[in-house]
Amino acid sequence: MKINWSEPGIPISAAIHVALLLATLIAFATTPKFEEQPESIAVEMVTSDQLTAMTKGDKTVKEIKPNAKPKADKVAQEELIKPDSADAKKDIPSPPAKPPEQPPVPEPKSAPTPPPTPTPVPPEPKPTQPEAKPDPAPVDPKPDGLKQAPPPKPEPKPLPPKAEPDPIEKKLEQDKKVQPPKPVEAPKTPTTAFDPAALQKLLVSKETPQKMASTASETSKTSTAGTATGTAAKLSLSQLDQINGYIYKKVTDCWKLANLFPDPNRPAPQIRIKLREDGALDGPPTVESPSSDTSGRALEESAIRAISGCAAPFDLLPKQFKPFYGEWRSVVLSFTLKDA
Amino acid sequence: MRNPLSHPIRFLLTLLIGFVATSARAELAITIDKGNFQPMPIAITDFVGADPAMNAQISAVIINNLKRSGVFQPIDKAAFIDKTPNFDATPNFASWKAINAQALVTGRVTKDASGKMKTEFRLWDVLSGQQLAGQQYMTDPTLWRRVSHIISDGVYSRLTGEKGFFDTHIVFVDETGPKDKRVKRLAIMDQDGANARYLTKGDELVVTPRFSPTRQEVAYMSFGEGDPKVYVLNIDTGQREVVGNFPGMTFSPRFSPDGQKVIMSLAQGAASNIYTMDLRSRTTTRLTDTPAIDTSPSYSPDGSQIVFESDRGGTQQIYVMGASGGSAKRISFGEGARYSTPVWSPKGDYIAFTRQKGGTFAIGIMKPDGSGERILTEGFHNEGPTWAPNGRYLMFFRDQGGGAGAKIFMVDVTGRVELPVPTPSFGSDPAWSPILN
Repeated sequence: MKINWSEPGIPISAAIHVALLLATLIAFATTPKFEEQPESIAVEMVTSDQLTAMTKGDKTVKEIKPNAKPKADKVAQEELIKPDSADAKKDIPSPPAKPPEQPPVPEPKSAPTPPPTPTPVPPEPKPTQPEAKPDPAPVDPKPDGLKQAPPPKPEPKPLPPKAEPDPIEKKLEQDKKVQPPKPVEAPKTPTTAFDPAALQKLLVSKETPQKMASTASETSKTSTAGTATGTAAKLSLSQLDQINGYIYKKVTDCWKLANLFPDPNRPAPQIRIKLREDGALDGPPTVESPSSDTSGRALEESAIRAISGCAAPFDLLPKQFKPFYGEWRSVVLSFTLKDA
Repeated sequence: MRNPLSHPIRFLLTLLIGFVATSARAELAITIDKGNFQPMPIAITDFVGADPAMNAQISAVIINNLKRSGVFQPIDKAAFIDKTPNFDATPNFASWKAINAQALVTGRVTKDASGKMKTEFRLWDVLSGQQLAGQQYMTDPTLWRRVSHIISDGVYSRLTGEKGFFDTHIVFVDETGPKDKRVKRLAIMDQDGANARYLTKGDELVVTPRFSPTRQEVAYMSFGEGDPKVYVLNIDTGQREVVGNFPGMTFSPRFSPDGQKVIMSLAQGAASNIYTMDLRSRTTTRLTDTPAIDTSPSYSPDGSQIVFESDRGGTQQIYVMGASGGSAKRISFGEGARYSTPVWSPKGDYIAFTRQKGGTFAIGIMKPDGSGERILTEGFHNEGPTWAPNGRYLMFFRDQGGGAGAKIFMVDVTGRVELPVPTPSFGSDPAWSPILN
């Protein structure tokens, strides 16, 4: 092809295009590659109110069904997916089969922690221990213008401990016998010991994997405020704060600690209280791992006095938070003495 | 994977099951970290018995003791619904709850054929209806006041968990006469100010008495003839002796925790150093050797360490060293403050001191490592702290200025309870005894 220089437009244009192309190729040859972006995951924001709405039960209901069935909107279809024969032979890890004897929830029945000892500690044995050994009055060495003459030297002898039991002790003992505190039977914890044989069996199994149905076999006929184990009514965080704040204020207002001296090394006693639906105490408060030393015991007793002698009943709870009884029926209070 | 949905669903279900399980187990956990420093309301009834005067005075001493501790608020007897409850019957707790009593003390006084007095008491928890303590004591009737203190200790220790301190004595310097001609005598009294009597005649100036932790003995410094010396006085027999035969002034004595040794300062020229003397073997040991003034030594309750004041760093500060001497560590660092008269608490948890700063004198405590310094009282002149045997209260003396004399005061380790200790006249340099046996 002959270049017609009388019309230089075309060759110049071609040359410039080629040059531009080359320049572009060279310029972008060293451009770093885009890094691989991780696959984005869609996240839906759920507020605490929405969560509460999602998980709460029916507020209008009067009673709590102990064995309420989980609420289902739909009856499950017989079989959503038919296992085909080829897949069924595959090793699909099946979820471990439940031990048949195991109750559905291991710690049901709202069983309060069994009291450490069924019988309360009887009052201290009266036999008055002769620790007081009032010794003779001090002898005045130099009676020079003294205020008070010393008393004649007595021979105070501590009385030996009485052999017969104190009448009041007896009566208290009898009272205790008449009304022994009912020991709450501890829930039997199902034995779920690790069984390697079962695991092995599971691993080699060819059985059809258990289906996890998302719908119940029947719809719940009655609405429910939730079972006693609290699967329904849930508190929002702000409601929880209100309840905590209410109990905190009532107890701190009642806790008299002038008879206690701070000791940073002393662990804070934990007092468990059970509340009835009307906000009153359901039985006396119990001390988790009671202290053996005297100052720890004094601290525990002052805490119990604050709760049962003053702070209880917690009236506001049934008034404002009745549907959430499952949430506040059991409270553990820790009492700490800051180094004052 | 045949069904892409199966895993997310399973995951969601597991999550939901976990959520339900936790919420079922959840219970409210609340930490109570403050309360009221209100004293505990307690009802102390008149004791029952044949002698109404004795009954009333025993309960009066107990009421006074418990009230002075700052821990209890004895309820006015006029408010009692059940004025004299039967000592042998379980009290009607409803009538005590009605007046907001949290604890109840009942008692009885009887005399046997030989004239001995039997005093019994019971301490009840009004709320639980349980008897918390019950004791009886056989004594000569003249010792009714001691029995009252012992009962007070029983009530106090059962309800606070701390040891009592009511059945104790105070030795102090009684000051009488005009300001320029004060007569200073050693005196002893009950911790509540009762039964005061003198131990010395007043012909010698006496200061800094210190109680032996194990015997009825007091070490003190006396300005007699010649150099002032440290003496040990037996309270029961009245005998006294010079501690050691040192060629100079000895001062600022204190007993070791086992009562076997006296630790004190010996002045040698411009310097003062710390020595101990074994009371049995009479051997003396020198613990410090500095050109400074080392004084006011006090043992830790286990006897392993000694706290003392020294101006070796330029100003009076508090130092701690091992019981056999050696290097000392400074523990007081208050800005612009001078520290003196350190005393180790019988519980071992604090060291009490006098702090002079900006023209005022304060009584304070700090931990043995120097941390946690806390001023309990401050004013024109406060000095010379001494610990109650339970390590929860201090006595000290205060001069409020204006030419008046010094008075003795008591304060608790929180600084909330402060009250004067009655003395016959002016008083200074208190020393608290151990619990009497």
